[in-house]
Amino acid sequence: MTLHLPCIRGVAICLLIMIAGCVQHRPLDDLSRQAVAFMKPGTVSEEELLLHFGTPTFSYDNERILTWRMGRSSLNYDELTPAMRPLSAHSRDRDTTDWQGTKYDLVVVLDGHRRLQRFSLLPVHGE
Amino acid sequence: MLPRWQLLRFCEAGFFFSRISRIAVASGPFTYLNGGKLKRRILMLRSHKITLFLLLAVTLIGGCVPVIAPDSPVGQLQPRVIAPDRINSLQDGITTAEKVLLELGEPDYAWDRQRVFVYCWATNDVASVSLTHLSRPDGYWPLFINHHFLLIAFDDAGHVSRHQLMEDDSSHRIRLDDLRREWTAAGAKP
Repeated sequence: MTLHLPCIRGVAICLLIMIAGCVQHRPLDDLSRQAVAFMKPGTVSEEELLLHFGTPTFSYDNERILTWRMGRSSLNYDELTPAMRPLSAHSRDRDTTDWQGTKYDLVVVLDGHRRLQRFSLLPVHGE
Repeated sequence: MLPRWQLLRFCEAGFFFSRISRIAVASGPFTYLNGGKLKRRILMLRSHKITLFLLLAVTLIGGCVPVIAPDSPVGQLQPRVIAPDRINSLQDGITTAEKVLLELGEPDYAWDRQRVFVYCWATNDVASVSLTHLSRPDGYWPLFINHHFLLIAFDDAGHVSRHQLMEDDSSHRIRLDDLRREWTAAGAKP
């Protein structure tokens, strides 16, 4: 029995389509651990946080509490980066519910010396 | 410029009709030439093509009919759901705004100079099947959706002074503007 070229081609196309979703990406748990690995309470300053994560999406109590919406990076899927562009300066009474692409909500509390006091990384949407 | 989801629909439709047209041509009058040999050959080829087409179709639409469990989040714009146990842990006069933020995350709305936090999310009313081609681009039907509003007001010391969980069905009887008027001092956007 000989295999015809169209048949081989068809099987190849089917295989390609079927294995297209089989590429494994790193699980979100790993990414979240990696994203906050440098955040040691008492040692990390506000400046370092801003340099690392960019402008926060929400701030409270004279920017003592800051939040970032984190998602998989569009450039590197195996990296967790801020998922949403920062809001305008008038964020005290904002109106937005855009959580698209967000996987974690990072909430950071700073102490009186503007250093990291505590934080929480809240899962938003699993995979 | 068409949105990405519409372009995808066009590509899928084009693919589908190209397959159908090729099959139609294969079963046309030209197949009776050459004493029927050509017809048999084309019929054999057609069966391969149909098999291939079905395989491809099943593979391609495999993820298009997800079954959604009750109380699961809907859509991509509001994937966050506040768990009931976290809401139950809120205590008026005791829980601080810092604790609220650390446990619930940032609010969807912050009104009245951040004296009122509003968390909004939507869940499926019943277990349902979501047909991607018939649903809205954000991935859900407006039917069978429960809308949830958790409103938390803070006093001057930053403690929870009042909180309330409200639920609405797809008829949208609860309006955000009404809630804003009720929960803020000014009663309107500053």
